[in-house]
Parts: sequence; C-alpha cells; structure tokens
Amino acid sequence: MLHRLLHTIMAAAIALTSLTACVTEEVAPNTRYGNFSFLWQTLDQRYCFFDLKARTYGLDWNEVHSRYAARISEKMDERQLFSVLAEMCNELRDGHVNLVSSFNTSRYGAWYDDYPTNYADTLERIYLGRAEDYYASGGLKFRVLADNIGYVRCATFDTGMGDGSLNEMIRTLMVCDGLIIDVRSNGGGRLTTAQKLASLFLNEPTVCGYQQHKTGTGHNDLSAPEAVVIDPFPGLRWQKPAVILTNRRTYSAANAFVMYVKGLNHVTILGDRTGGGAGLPFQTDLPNGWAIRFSACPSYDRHMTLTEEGIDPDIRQDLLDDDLQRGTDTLIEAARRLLRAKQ
Amino acid sequence: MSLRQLIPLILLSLGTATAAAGGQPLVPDSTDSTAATYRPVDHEWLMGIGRANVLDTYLSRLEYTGTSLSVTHTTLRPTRRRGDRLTRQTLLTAHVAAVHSPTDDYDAYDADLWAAMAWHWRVLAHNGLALYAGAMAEAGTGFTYNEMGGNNPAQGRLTADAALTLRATYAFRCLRRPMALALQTDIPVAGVMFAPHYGQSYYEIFALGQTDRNVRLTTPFSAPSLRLLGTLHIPLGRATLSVGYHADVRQSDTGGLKRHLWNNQLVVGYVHRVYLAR
Repeated sequence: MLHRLLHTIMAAAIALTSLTACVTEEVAPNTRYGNFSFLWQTLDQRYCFFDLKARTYGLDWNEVHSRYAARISEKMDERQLFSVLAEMCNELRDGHVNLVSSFNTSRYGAWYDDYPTNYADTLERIYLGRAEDYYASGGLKFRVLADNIGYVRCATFDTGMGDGSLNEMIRTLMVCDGLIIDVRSNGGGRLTTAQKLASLFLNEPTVCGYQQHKTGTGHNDLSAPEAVVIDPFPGLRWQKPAVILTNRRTYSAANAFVMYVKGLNHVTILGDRTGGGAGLPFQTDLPNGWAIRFSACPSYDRHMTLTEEGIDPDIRQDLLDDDLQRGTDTLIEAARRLLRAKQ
Repeated sequence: MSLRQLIPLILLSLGTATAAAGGQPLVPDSTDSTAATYRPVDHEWLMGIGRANVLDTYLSRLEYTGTSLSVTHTTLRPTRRRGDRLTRQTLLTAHVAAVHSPTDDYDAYDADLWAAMAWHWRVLAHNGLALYAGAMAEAGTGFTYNEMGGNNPAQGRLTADAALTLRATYAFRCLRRPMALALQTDIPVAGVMFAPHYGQSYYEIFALGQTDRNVRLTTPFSAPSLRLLGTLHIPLGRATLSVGYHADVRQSDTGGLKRHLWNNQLVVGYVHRVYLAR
C-alpha cells in the first residue's frame, strides 16, 4: 500500500517535471523597426498618463504609431533612429520621458523652456552670502536674513535629509518670525526626502495626496488610489508662517513637496506654476541597448487632482528685470513682505 | 536557455526517477559495518561555477546572461524510524550572478539564498541502486539589481514552498575504488511568494506601506521550477571528492510579471562523513 502511494508520488513528480515550461518574454528583434515597435509597445503598456494627455491635447497613441512607423527605415543610422524615436517620445509632453543612448538623452523641455526661469543663482549667492556665512546641512543651505526671516535653499531632493539635520535647522531658525523654503529649479529626487521636509509643517498624520500604479497593459488599468499619509516630524516643527518659492523648474519630487504642503493654513506658495512631473518614473532597456524612462505611477493631491501639469501658486510673482539688475530677488522680497505682514 | 536546452535537463531529472529499479541505499552506506552501531551523517560542501540567464520583466523585458557562482551545503542523515529507511536532508545553497544585457550596455546582479529540509523514504534498493521519494519544505530570499533601473532599480524576492523530491543513488566500483553517483530533483508543487504588482513601485510598498495582495500563491503552472543536483563521489585518501552538475530553474509568471533564473553550473566539493553513536 505504502509502495503504491510512493509510486503515485513519483509519477506525479515526473508529470510535474514534464509540465515545467519555460517562462520567457517575446520581444521584438534588434532591428530599426523592432526597436521602434518595442519602444512604442513598452510605453503603450506601461505609461500612466495616456488618459490625461488625450483629454488635455488630444493625444492618440495609435495615431502616433502610424505616423512614426512610416518614418522608420532599416537604412537609418543610429542617430537618425534616435532622432525619430526621441520625437515620438516627446509626443507625450512629459519631462519624465527620456530616451537614453550612449550619445544622447532625449528630454521634453517645453514645460520650462517656454516660461521665464524666475530664478538666478547670482541672486542666491547674494542672499546666502559667502560660504562661511550660511549653514549647510542635509542638502539644505540656510541662514537668517536681516529682517529675522529664515531663508532655506533646497536645490534638490536627490540626497536624504537626516532627522538630526532637520532638527538642527529648525533649532537654528526657530527664533525667526517667518520661514522661506526656496525650491525653485529643484528638479526633484527622492519622494521620501520631500515627505520628510513636508513633515516639518504638519501637526498630525495628514493625507497629503494619493498614489496609483498600473495594474495591467491597458491605458486605464490603474489601481485604486491609496492615500499618502505623512506623519509629523518627530522633533521640532514649524508652526509660524512659511512661504514656499516655486518656478517652472520645480519638478517631480519638488512638485510633490509643494503638493504636500499646499493648503496648510500657515503655508503660502509664491512664484510661478510648478513644472509638474507627477508620475513616478520607471526605466527599462530596448533591444539595441538604449533605455527608456517613463512615468509609471501617477500621484494626486489631497483633492484627487493630478499635478502632472503643475501646481498653481497662491500668489503669482515673476522675477523682475529691474530687480535682477539691482541684485534683488523679487520673489524673496515678496515673501519677506508677506511674512512681515503676517507677524 | 531555450526549451531545447531545457529538455535534456528534464530528461535527466526523469532519469533520476526511472534509473533505479531497486537496490541498496548508498547514503548512508548499508555495507558500512559501523552503521549497525553508529549513525553515519554525510556533510557535503559544493562550490559551483557556471552560466546564469536572468529575466525579470519588472526591471527589463530582455534576458541578461553571465557568470554565476554558488555554494551548497547538504547534510544527509538517517532517522531512527522505519529501520533507517527514512533519511532527513538539510540543504543550504547560495548563488550570485553578474549578468549583462544582450548588447552589454547594462549590468545586473542576481543573488539568492535557499534553505530547505527534506525527508526521503527509500522506496527501492537493489544491487547498489537505491531510489528515494519524499517531500521538501524550502524557503528562499534574493534580489536582482539592475544598474539601468533608475528610480526602481531592484526587485526583491521572498518565497516559501513545498516540493516533491526524488533522489537516486548508485554505488559501484571503478579502478578498484568504491564510487557513488547521486542524483536529486526537487520540484516545488505549492507555495507563496512576495511580488510587487505589475506597475507597483517599491516606494509604494516600503515608503507608503501599501502591501495589499503582494503575497501570491504559486503552483507548478504559475511558478514552474526545478532544482537538479547530480554528483559523482570519488574517494581520495581519507576524503571523498564530489564533482557534478547543478541546475537551478526558478521561474514565475504572476500578475503580469515574468521572471526566470536558469542557472547551470559545474560543481566540485567534498563529502565528510561523521558517525553519531546510536
């Protein structure tokens, strides 16, 4: 009886082994047209903003395929192919979509090229002073301005911010009457770093936005929105008035930071509309070795509004040429006036 | 590895099951006179080097290939039950692989650690041939890191499963020396694995703690996998040299994400036998 059972087990094992099939992925060949097809299909299946782009400017991704397929020839050289494929990527009008080769990286830049920068690093040097005049900690540069307003320059979220660094920054600036966080031309970085900086302004766990991801290959195959809840910073927190300075190059994780704090009673957004970039990017490679980066996970503000196209400031302010000539930053001065008025 | 390349491997594993038509168990050696009063326990260490083929569509739809290294340690001991016909095996194996994209533009690194415990029942024993069948419980963890990946460069793995295991041994003499062949196939039949959703980022999983439905059930249809280890044991002085072939085929196709690791290695090591007083 036992032997019969064991023989049955053996037979089952043999059958299971026979059923062992190779798990493989069908991919287009490494030809000019194959790489075009691979790129178009990858974006078709994994890009997350087709619905938004169709609504805002009528993007039809199938029509894009027809138009660009006609331009692909096996006689093209690498740079010609790159040029055509990069143009196709730019149809998505998304700063997170980049085609990467060894000789070039494509990027869509109309979201900032078409607008004034409203930021000058020469002015930053005037306001921060010489290297020994300001603090630098956790990727932030900060000092107390003459009118007792704290100024914090946050140029990137690429590096992590330690709790100790943020605690010391607030400790240094806690005597100030107001705080300016300057995220102009901050191109983003880590969302977790943006969340940590935002947590300085919160008093309780707060739903600061929502996050989705693709669940399948269809354009609208998206997960149910999940709340992004940010806990207050465990140490000191900023409860006095604060102004966040933005421009069109405030992008990606910096856009998310603005999204997290916009709407808080003691926070005002001042400057230009942010650049957007609300799709957390993924990256994958093509058969010819190039890589494609694309928005994969859309994020929304606390009202479930997509911020891919940017966030409007509470107060619109450009950098004026006359001020620039005088060495004065119009946005910083407007923020100082606002903070003094709120005292 | 293509299907054509995999067929010999499958046939070899079938051979494992069908080669033994009955015989004496090799490990533990029933002819060992000390076995009557002592329990022999075999410790086998194996170092492997070979080729790995890695596909993980979460990171890339292309197959990456390169060199893999492994270390495997097994312990085989008879239990006191059923007149030594039941043996218990523990297995610990780790592998690392440095693999490259088809055009060699990007590198990726793959690593796994598996721990398993199996119980083998001796089914047949005749003229040096022995066949065992049994069950195995195994757990594994690992990762694939692709330097191309940008914001989402890595994929983590956590797996636990129950497997059918078949083991065949054959003791023979060659050049007046006692030698032994051992072949073992482990085939997972049911388990659970951690996996992100199709387009889910690790930021959502770890930073936001959104882990709903990230644990999936696996079957031979959704995760057809196989481990095959064949070794020849050659006595050299007081030690026993062990040389052979190790294939590890780990695959999954769940939630729109496909993964495979096809690992083929030549292995070399030694067996160390100790006796435990009964």
